Amino acid sequence: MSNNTKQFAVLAEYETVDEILSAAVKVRDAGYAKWDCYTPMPVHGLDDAMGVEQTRLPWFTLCAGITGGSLGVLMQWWMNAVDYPFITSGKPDWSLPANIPIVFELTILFSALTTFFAMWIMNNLPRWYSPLSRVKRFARATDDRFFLAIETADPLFDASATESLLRETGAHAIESVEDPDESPTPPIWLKHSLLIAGTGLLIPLMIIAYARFNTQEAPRVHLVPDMDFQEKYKAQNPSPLFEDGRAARAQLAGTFAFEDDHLILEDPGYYTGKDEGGDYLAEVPIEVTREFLERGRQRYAINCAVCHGYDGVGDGTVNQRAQSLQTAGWIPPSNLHQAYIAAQPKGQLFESITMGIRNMPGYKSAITTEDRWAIVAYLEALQGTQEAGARQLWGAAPSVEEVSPSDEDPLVAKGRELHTTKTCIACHSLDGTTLVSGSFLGLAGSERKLTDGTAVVADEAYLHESIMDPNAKIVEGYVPGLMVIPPISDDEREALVAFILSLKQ
Amino acid sequence: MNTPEVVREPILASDTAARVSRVGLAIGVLGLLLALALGASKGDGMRHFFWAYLVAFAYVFTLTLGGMFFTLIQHATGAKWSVSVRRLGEFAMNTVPLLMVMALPFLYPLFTHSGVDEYGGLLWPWIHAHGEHAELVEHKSPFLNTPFFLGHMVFYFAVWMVISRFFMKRSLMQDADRDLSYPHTVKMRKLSAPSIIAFALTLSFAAFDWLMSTDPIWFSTIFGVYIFAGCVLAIHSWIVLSSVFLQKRGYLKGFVNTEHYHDLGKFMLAFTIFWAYIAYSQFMLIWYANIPEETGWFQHRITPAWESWSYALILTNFAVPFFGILSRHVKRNKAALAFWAAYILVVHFIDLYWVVMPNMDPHNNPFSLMDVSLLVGMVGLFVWAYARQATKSSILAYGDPKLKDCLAHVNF
Repeated sequence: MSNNTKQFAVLAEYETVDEILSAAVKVRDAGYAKWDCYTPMPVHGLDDAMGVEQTRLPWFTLCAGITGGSLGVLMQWWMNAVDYPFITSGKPDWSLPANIPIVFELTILFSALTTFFAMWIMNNLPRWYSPLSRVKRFARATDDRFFLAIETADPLFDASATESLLRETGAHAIESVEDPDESPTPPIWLKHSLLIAGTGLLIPLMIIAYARFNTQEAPRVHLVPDMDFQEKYKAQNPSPLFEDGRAARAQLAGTFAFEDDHLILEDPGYYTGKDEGGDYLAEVPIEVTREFLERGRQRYAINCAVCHGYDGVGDGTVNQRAQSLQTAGWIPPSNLHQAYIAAQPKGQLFESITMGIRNMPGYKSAITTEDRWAIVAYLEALQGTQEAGARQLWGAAPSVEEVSPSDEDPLVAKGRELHTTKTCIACHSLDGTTLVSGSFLGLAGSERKLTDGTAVVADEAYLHESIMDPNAKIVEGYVPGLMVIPPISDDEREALVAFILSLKQ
Repeated sequence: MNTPEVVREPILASDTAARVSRVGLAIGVLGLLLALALGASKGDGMRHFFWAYLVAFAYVFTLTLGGMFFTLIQHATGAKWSVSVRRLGEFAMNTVPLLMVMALPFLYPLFTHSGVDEYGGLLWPWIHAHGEHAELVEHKSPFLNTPFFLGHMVFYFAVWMVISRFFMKRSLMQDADRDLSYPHTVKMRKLSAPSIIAFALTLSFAAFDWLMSTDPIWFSTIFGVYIFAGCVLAIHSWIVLSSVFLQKRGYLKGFVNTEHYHDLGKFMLAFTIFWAYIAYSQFMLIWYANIPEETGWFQHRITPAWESWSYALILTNFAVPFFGILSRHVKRNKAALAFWAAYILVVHFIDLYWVVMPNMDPHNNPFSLMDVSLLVGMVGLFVWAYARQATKSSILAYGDPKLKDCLAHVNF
C-alpha cells in the first residue's frame, strides 16, 4: 500500500429518515454539488431534499424506442420487398400489418437495453471500488444507518467549514474518508472467470463453424415437429370433406378469377398460358430480352433447380437425396430436355409451372406471373444447350413426330399424339425402358400379376379401367396412388387405348 | 417526513352532488327525448334509434363494469395508492340497477323483431334469421336464441348486482368500523379474487351476446378482452375527471394529489396501449388467416363508408393519446391530464360506435345528431345515478386502513 493517501470525503452518519432528509436540505442549501446520500432503503422525498433534478433518462428511452421501431420497419421493408421478395400467404411483398409484431419487439428491445446501459453510464458504473467502502461504519448503510458524504472534489469543500456544517445538521458521527490512491484493479478471480466465460462463448461459434463445413449423416433434430410436419391438404390432395373427393375447390360458377389484381379475362393467354379458344400459346407473350432471361435464370435457380437440377436433367439435390434414401413411391423430377417437353408449346410449360403437374405442386402462389414466363423463356435457352431442344431451336422437326408412321389408323395416331401431349410419356416409355412406371411397348395382351395374388390379361377393358381408376388393380412391384387420373375426355381415352393396343407384341 | 395525520372523517359533497345529479337527470331526459323525436322522424321503424341506443348503452355499460373492475382489482392487490379515489370507482360500479333499466328497451327488438325486417333487421339478426346466410346463423341457434339470450342477461345482471351491492355495502361498513382486525377489509380482499373471475366471464359473454352477435356469423374469442380494455380505459379517465371536478369544488383537497393523478395517468397510458395491442391482435390473426367467415367483420369496416373511420381509429384511439400521455409531466399536470381523460372518453365512443354501427349498415355511416344526443342522454342518466350516491355517502373511503399509506404515496 502506498503512503500517499489523501482525503476523499467527509462522511456523516444519521439514525433516522427525518434526520437525513433535513441534513440533505441543509447541504443542498449550502450549495454543494459533489455529494450524495446513502440509505438502506428508498427514502421518499430524498430527491427533492437533495435538489436532484429530473433525470434525462426517459429521453434516451424515447429516442431508442423510435429508433428501434423505425429500424424494424426499414429492416422488414428491405428484407421482404427489396432484397428477397417472396410471396407469403398471398400478401403483398411488404405488408405493414405483418411487420407490427417485429416493430413492437424492436421498439421494446431498443428502449430496454438503452435504458439499462444509459442508467449504468449515468451512474458511473461499472466501478470497481469506492473509498467509502473502506470505512467500517459505512457497512451499516445497507442495514440501519443513513450516511451523507461530501467529497473533497467539491469546489466549496473546506475541511473545517464542511465538517462544522455537517455537525450542525445533527450528525451522530463524522469521519474523514481517506483515499489510499491505489489504482484499483479487479480481483484476480474475476479476471480468470471472465477469461473462462469469454472462451466458453467461443464454443457455440466453433460448433456452428464445424457444422457449416461438415456433412451430417444423422437426420436433423425436429425441435418443433408440429411445425415441420403439418397436417394440411396440398393442391390435388384427396379429401373426404367434399363430395367430389378433392381438397382444392374448383372455381365457382359465375365468378371471375383474378391474377395480379387483373381479371384473367383481360388477357387469358398471359395469365393462364391458354388463349380464349383454350389453345396453348406457342410463344412467350412478353418480349424476351437479356435481362428477362437473366431474371428467368435466377428464378429457375431459386425455385426449380432443387428438383430439376441447374442443368435441367432432373437430378437436383432433392432427387439425389430421395434416390439415396430409396424413398418408396418417389417420382423423379422430369428431365426437361426430353423431346416431348422440348416440343411443348410455351403456354403448356407455363401452365405446368402455374398449376403443377403430376406430383409437382403448382407455383402460382410462389412465383409471379411475369417471373413464370421468364422461367419458360429461360427453359428454351436451357433446352437449346441439349440435343432435343437444340433441334427445336434450330428448326429441325421434333423427334416425337419423326417416329409416327404415315399410314397409321387416325385413331391410333391421335392416341400417339395424346401420349405425348397429355404427358403419359413422362412415366410410360414406348421403347421398353422402365421410367417411373412400365413401358407401353408390349403391355397390351400381356399377363399382369396383381398384389392380391390373382392375374389378369391387359385387354381393352383393363386398359380403360386403369386409366379411369389407376388404383383399381395394383400390379406387383408398383406403388398405388402414384398415377393421377389424366384429364382427358372419353374420346381421347378411346384413342389412347387404341394406341396402346397397337403396341401389342 | 411530513405526512399529515389522517383525520378519519367522512367527506360529504351532498350539495354539489345533488346539483350535479339534477343536471345529469335533466340532460338525460332531454337527450333521450330529443333522440326519440329524431329517431321517430327518420321513418325507418326506429331502426337507427335502436342501433344507436345499443352504442350508448354499451358506453354506460363499459363505465359501470369498468368501475366494478377498478374496485375489485384494488381489493385483490391490496392497493394502497388508490384508496383515496376508490369510492369514485365504487359509485360507478353501483349503477348496475340503472344499467338494468336501460336494458329493458332491448325487449322490444327481442320480441317484435320481425316488424322491422323490411328495413334490414334490428340489432340481432339471429332473432329472425333470414337472407343468404340464414342457414349459417341457424347452426348457432342452440346458443343464439331469445330465451337463452334473456336468461344470460338476467344471469349477468344478477352477478353484477351481487358483486356491486356487496363491495359497496362492505366499503361503507369499513368506513364506520373501528375494529382493528379490519373484518370488512379482509372480507373484501378475500372475495375480490373470485369476483374478478365472475366479472371476467360475465363481461366477456355479455360482450359476445350484446355486441358481437350483432354480426352473428362473425366470432372472435378476444372480443371480450377488447371491450374490457375499453372498460378500464374509460373508468380511469372518468375517475380523473370526477376527482378534478370535486377538487375544483373544494373537496378531496389533500387526499388526491399529484402522485395519485400520476398513477391514474399511468393506467390511462397503459390501457391505451393495451387497447391497441388487443385490437391489433384481433385484426392481425384474422388478416393473416384470411378465412371468409372471420374477415367479414373487417370487410364491413373498410367499405368506402367506414374506411376513413377505421383508419382514424388508429390515430385517435392510439397514436394521439399515446404520445399525449407518454410524458411524466403530462401525467403530473392536473389540467393536462383532465384534458386527456376527457379526450379518451370521447374517443371511447368513437371506438364503440365503430364496433357496433357497421353491423347495421356496412355501406352507410349514419352518424348524426341523434347518436350524439342519445349518448349525452344516457351518460346524463349515468351521471345522475353516479352523483346521487354521493348525496348520501362519503366520497372518500375514509375508513380504509390503507388511507395513510395512500396519502404518503410517492412515485419515484
